[in-house]
Amino acid sequence: MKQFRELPRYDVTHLRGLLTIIKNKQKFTIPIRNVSLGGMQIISEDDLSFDSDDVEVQLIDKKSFHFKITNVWKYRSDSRFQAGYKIKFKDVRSFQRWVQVMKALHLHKSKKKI
Amino acid sequence: MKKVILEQFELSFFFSRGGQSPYTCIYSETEDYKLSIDYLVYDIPELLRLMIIKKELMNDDLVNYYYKNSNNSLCLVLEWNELVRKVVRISSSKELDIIDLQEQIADKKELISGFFKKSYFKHQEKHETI
Repeated sequence: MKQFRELPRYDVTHLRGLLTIIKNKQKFTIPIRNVSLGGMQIISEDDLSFDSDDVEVQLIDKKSFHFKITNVWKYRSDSRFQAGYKIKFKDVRSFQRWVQVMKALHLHKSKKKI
Repeated sequence: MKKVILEQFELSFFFSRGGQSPYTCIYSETEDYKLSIDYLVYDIPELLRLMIIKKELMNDDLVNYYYKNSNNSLCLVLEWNELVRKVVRISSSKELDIIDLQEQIADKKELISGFFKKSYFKHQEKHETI
């Protein structure tokens, strides 16, 4: 079956959003490339294509989000890794805040098109 | 003027071209959604609930908790592909839970679908850009 994007995706490189993830007791903080209601994409020099029960995401303000993530794809180009993750929310409050952020990103993107 | 095709329900129809396109309201029997206004997936709680479940964004307990006060409305998808999305929001004036609501509309999907088509053509005549 042909796959297609069901939820809008937003470029957030300009926001300097960060994903903090722990692998083998080592902490990695890496820039987020884009986000959607249900996922995000990163580029890293380290291969971070694994699942995690708790990652921290900072996007617009200093208040961070905590998600469970599942790696759904990865791609290696030269010495860098791109990875896509599926997000799972652990509480309702985070989901509500994330929805607000997605809406703001959508409106910002729409204004830029005009 | 309110034009009721199913007396016990209030219907709102939305059409989207997929991708980043918004959901344009092409028919509405409720004040919550206005004709010809564009809505985002985040603005239609029933559609959002469908996406939460489909994409497994939360576990079932959290979904039920999040929607505990809006259990008398749901979203029916008539068509969903890369280029076209036809979505119906159905709410009940009665205190029906979502399972009862699903049962009550199960045999009315064809009727709703037919009325959606008529509403779409009517809206298309008025707004050539859609």
